[in-house]
Amino acid sequence: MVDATKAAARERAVAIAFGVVDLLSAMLVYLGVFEGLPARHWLVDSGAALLIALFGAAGAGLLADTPWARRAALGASIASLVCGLLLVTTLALTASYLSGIYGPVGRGGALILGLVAALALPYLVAIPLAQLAWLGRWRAASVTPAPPAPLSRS
Amino acid sequence: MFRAALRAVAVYLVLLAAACVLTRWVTSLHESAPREVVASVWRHGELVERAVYLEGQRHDARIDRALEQGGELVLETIVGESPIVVWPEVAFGISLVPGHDGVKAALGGRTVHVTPDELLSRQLYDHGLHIPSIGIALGVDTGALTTMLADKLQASRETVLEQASLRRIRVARKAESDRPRITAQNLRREDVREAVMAGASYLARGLSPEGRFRYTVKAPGNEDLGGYDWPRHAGATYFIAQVAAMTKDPSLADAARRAASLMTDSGLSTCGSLSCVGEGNSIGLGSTALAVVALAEIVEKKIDERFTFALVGLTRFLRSQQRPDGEFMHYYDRGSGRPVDIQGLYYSSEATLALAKAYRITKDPADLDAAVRALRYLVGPAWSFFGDRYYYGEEHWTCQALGVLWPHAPDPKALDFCLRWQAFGRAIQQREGDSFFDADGSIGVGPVVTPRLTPVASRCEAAVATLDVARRAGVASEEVALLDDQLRRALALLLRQQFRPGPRHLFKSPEAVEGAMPGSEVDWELRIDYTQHTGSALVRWLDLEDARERARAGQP
Repeated sequence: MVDATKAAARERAVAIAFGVVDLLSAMLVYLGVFEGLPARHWLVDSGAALLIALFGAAGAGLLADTPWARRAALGASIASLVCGLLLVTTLALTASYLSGIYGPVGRGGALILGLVAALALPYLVAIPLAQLAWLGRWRAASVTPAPPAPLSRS
Repeated sequence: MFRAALRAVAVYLVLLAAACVLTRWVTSLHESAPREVVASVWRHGELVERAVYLEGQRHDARIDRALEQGGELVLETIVGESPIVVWPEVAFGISLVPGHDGVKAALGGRTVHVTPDELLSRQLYDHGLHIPSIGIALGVDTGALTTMLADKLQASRETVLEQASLRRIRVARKAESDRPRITAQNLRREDVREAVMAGASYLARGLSPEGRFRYTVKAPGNEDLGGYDWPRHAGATYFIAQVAAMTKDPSLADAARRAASLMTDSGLSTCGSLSCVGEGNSIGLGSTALAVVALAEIVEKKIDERFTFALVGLTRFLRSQQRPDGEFMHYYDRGSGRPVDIQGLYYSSEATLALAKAYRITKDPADLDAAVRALRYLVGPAWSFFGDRYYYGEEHWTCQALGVLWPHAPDPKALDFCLRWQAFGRAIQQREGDSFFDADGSIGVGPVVTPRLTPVASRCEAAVATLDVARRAGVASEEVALLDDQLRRALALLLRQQFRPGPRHLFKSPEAVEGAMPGSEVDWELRIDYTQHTGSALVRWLDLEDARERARAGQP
């Protein structure tokens, strides 16, 4: 009984931690895209808006312990993982393209691309992966074994 | 689910690495054999004839016929090709290395070339994506490039973008006006002196009878682009005065006098009970400060001592704008008759230099005191924040003020600041091979942005002053040697890029732009301050070198 209470408290603490991280991610995506980028592009802006909405919903839901919170967190994790990997793909292919055109991408260019990756990867790839791992354990725990089928009288 | 996601990410990373290697290989230049040569005849800045033939073959008779009418033959050998993407537009724009790459387009059995010379002539490089917040423009103007290709292919722009095969071409150019490369190692005083004369002559040629400069000129067509700015007018006047004093050339002295008269005549306003330079209700401190710098040079070098009266009046205005802590209030509101305590870039240090230079004429202790307090503020509280040892801006007047003030009031803290500022500049200074651009001595902001030349020139002005003071103050010879090398590399770059004569074949009137400094190696809009900053740095360097030569010869 005591163990079950402890486990529930630990589970709640983890949910709160992920809730805070999700809200922080929403804020960082907002700052990075809508305050940091010097030009607007519908593709980047709409992707960022979607992420902000999902992270915001997941964060609020996890903190308030709503029934839909984990589904929102799952959606946010998958969406941010996709966006994060797309960002990595874009950065890597851009660096390769520029490297082909301009020779070895200068130290400055490599530094900028590396910094962007370093800033974005923890929030868009590492944390979503960790959250997916946590949500995976939760789903496994919440699936109860199916009751045995009733025996036939015939 | 987690394991599946992890496996997917691992597979993705392997595929991404392969895609990167492939992308790099495909977009790298591939040499074709035999190589094509694009022969162009240019006359008065216009392309009048073109023929493309394989290297080693005799060129087309049309070229010979065109040359008989006059003009210059330029051979651009295609040394490499690679495919480029036309979408997204920003990728298309940055697919050409500015000044080196052009485009070869094929459509329906017809092949045409747009060479780097044509793109330079139309000024299409670095006119693509504008990012106003950081003040840069990068990439080719793809709209104009597509129009050029469409004209050559006699097709619509849409057809070109959708159906034509576009390839990037790298060319090696050979023109009659090519000249030997100047480097830090072979930089000679004679070359610098000629560059100074050419720069001053360019500005003086553009001076109207009433003393107004041709403010911005688009070099290929020798077109005036309009606009005007009093601080830059004053800066250009200062440079002409420096050269007039150095050469004793009466025509330059007359030009300096005319340009100065404009400032002290139609450029003069009243700010309360004092005189100031500028127009409108809000007067910026910079126009008065640089006017004082120019007038001080004219008076000190005895070009015309009648400007002393105006100088003293303007100096009083500068002092009235100073706060007790040494900082300046950068604006004066003529409506309310009050200074406005707002700060922008440059004005404080310009005012400091102005007061320091004015003191040598006025001998007024109030000018010296104001300049000393201002310099102390600039290298102290004005640059005090977390990380101030790791980052410096491009403000370049402070160290010039240090140089002028040193004989009267040496400030070791200011020297330390300037040495650190130069060390930072050295760290971001590019070397040969750092990019495809003329890199050695430049200040680059990334591989796709063409380095600007004015920041190099203005840093040189400060570097010369710092080097001078460092030698006088007995700074360690290793540090002085590093500073000297850094300066020589930057000056050599400026000499290489100055239009002497520049690519004459691409100019409608080469003689009109001879001696001017472009904004960058591909930006040929010539603003007066580009030539001024370069020229002032070169004059000061010559002064310093001449003084060392005299000292070595045991002369006073």
